[in-house]
Amino acid sequence: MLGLIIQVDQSIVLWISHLVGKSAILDRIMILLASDYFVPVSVSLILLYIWFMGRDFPERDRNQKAAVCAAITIGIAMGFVLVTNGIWRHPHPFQDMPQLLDPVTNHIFYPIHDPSFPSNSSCLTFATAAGVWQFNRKWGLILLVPAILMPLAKVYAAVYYPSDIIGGAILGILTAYFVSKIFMPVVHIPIAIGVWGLRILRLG
Amino acid sequence: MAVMGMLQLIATTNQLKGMLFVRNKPVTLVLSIAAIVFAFWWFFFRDNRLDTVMRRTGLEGAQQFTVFCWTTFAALVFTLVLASFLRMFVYRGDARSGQEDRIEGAYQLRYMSWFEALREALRRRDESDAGTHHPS
Repeated sequence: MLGLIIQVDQSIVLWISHLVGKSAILDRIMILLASDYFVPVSVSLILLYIWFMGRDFPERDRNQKAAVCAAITIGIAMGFVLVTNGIWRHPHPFQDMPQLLDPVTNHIFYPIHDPSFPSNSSCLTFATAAGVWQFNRKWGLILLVPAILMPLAKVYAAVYYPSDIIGGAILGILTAYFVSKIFMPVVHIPIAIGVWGLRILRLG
Repeated sequence: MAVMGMLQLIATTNQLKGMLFVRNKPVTLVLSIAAIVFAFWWFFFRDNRLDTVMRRTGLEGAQQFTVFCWTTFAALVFTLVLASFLRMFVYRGDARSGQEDRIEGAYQLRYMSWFEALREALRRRDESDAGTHHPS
């Protein structure tokens, strides 16, 4: 089973990486999307927008819970990624297929050092989208766009396998569910105090 | 700069006048979007971050998170302080019209500056401590 997954993963990466260098515009877009800064900073700005958004108090309260849930989910999900990385060091596509290193990975991104499974960028973006989705469906769906595009760009750059992306996405979504249904209700008092403090300072 | 642009966009779309630098909605929309686009253009296209940063040092996620939090906080405080000074010295004639009773949090900035909102919060606390406050 694992052999089949690896075979399918490698076939998909090889097929997608054949597109690298064919279109300068597509390469440029993928360089931007795969960047460690572009999507994380954009998503953070969107979370800032969500924090202040809302026509009335209940809507604003729900949006602030969405932003808090996303922030907590990101932190916990990154911890889970770190633990998984410590248990299983899965190689990247450019390590399994060194012929992709120069023409693909170095052209679009750079050869990262941390393990491939689960993809931390996929986990981060899906954790954010799923965290927001628990309280605000519309913005959760909007955040799903960068959540799909950034990991796709990493597959294009032969940095991650599709299974790494799926693993990261599942981890992020499950963490968001755990945070909204279990973690936030359990620690709702410190969260409420934090939000109340920001409201007193007129920052939330 | 991008955060300040985003804060102006937030202020204008949510009518938070106490956060606005310019009271004209179309002008603020154009300026805020321009600030965000310029900040992104400057960051991503002026230097190649792949060669200058990522390939050399790699990206430290926690460091990026810390830097974003601090810059957001600094931009927020700067925006609120500057908008408060603008209200004190430039938009002095603006009356508080249509203020809802007991509006809480950042949405008080719809009707007053940050300084005024903080003063109001302190006044309410004093009234509450003295037992003289009667919420409507």
